[in-house]
Amino acid sequence: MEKLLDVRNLRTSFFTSDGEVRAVNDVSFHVGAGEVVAIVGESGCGKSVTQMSVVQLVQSPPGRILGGEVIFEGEDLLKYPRKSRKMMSIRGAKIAMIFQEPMTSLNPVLTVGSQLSEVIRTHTGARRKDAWNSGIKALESVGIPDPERRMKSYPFEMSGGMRQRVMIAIAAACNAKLIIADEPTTALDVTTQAQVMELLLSLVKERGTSLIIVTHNLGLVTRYADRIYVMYAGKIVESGTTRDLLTEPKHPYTAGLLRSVPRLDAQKDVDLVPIKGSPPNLAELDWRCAFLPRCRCALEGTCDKLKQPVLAPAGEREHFAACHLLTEVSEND
Amino acid sequence: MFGYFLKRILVSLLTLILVSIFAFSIIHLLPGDPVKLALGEAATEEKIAQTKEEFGLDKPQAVQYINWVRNILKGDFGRSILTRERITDLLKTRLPITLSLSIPALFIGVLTGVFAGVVSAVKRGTLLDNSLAFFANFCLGVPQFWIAIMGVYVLSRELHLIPLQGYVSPSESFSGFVSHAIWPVICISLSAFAVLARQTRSNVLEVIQQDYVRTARANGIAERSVITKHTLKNALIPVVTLIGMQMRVLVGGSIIVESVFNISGLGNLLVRGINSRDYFIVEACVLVISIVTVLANFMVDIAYGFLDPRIRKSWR
Repeated sequence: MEKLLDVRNLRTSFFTSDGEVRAVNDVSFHVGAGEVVAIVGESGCGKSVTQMSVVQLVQSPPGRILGGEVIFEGEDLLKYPRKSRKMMSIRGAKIAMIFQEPMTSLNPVLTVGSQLSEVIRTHTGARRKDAWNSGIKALESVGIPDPERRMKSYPFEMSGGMRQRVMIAIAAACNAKLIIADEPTTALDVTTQAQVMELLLSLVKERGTSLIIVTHNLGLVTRYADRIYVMYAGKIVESGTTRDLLTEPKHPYTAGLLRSVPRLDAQKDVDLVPIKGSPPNLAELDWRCAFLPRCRCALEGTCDKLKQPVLAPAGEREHFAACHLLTEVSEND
Repeated sequence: MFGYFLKRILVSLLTLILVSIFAFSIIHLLPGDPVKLALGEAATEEKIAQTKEEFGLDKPQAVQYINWVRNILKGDFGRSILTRERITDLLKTRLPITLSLSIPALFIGVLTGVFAGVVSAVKRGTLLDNSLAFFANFCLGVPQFWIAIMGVYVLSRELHLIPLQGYVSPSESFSGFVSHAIWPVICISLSAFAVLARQTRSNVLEVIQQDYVRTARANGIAERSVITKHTLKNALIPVVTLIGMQMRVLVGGSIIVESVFNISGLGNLLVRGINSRDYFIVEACVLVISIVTVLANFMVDIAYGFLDPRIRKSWR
């Protein structure tokens, strides 16, 4: 599959009074055309910052992209300054973003129509009237009833699910090649979650849009994603197809995540096992494996003596994991 | 929406009534007798009693208040105890003078203040931002009369750019009005500028952090529109409140500037009235200032509706 987005060795840090917070620490991932990719991890593991770095929207200061490449349609986006015309023409037009909080992600004092049609006008150069009509079509396409009237509504007059549909309509209106959905359903109830996800999926199917879902909800991605990247402490610790990751997790963290969520297909009386402890402070990262203090499988004499593990092949179909148990132990066996 | 306005109007009226009672009581509590001041030391008891009767000052205070209000409703503010001028006429000549200074001052102060605040916020942390912050703090910290006098010293005495003092009505000579009024207007506008610049800066900085501004940026909206359309409309809602408060300062607050430049506006009249315990002048001035304040607040409430659809929709 051709790579639409290829992120290589991306590093983003926040320079705070506590020191350098390495939010994204040498992260590489790629998304093919029409592919659905999930980035999974706990809050604060750097998954959102990774995506914000892709479109250079990391708040600066204190944030700074320190290195790496973001190759989109064959061009390295990091070569263009964040406020350049090129980046402006990518954001919203080619790479659209959908954020977590539908309550606050739309401007409260502007009508849905004015926000939607402004994006259309910005990227297509359409006239006001035409942009408005395209906006109506976009609202219709995401299943909002009575779109003419809804164009004149304000966000506070809509429900959370409806607002998230508006966000998707904005993304769909300009025929974005890639949609980055950052926790798109976290703030919604379960039925609405499913509707919003189906809507995103239909865009992928009908238009060949690629989709990145950033989430901490494993249950959500197992149903929809083709491939999964698991992030921990600013690094990707495991990646592979959804099926491989679910059936044969190679990193103890992935395995821990899977054990901590209830599954319908699990046998009865299987207890949920939480991962003990909390994620490390990204400003004070150890030179050893970042997951070591919480790892149930850590080997004394191996994991506590070695430097941070790097991603290594862990199975078929581009299955990778960064764990000493995989490399060191299997070699020594 | 009608119900909302009716409620606002009733609240405004109630405020005015309370302010008038308050103003009336306070001035009567001040030591000093305007009649004795007006007639001089040599006045006989008989003469004093006669004058008091003429102005109705011999009646109980409640009756005095009711008579005062009744006359005002007929458009009659009474006469000055000292000079026997009709106060309605005094207000008619003096209020336009004060307004001709304070309205331009309000415009200049609000426009420059909001503009400076936005620039500061957008250029946060730069030399420009720091300079503007310093200037705004300077305007707030240094007394108005000092700025007024220093300006006169430099611009008028040393550079001969503007006249020393006085006032020329714009209907008489517009260029004369401009040259006389320019420095007083700037002096009055400085406090509005400073207050609005600081408030606007912090509001814009707060709004710029909001999710919806991030959304606008993520959608590739041009930075100009991100600031003017997506940020400012939200950031200006609290600023409107301050503008309403500044309107009171501009009508009542020109007192100092009018004294420094010897301009016979409302502020000067109020000072004169207080000094001579001229009850009716003080009461009239206070009433006019509070009417302006109440009107300003009323307009602020309406402006809210235009800026914030959430409030506008709740009027229905």
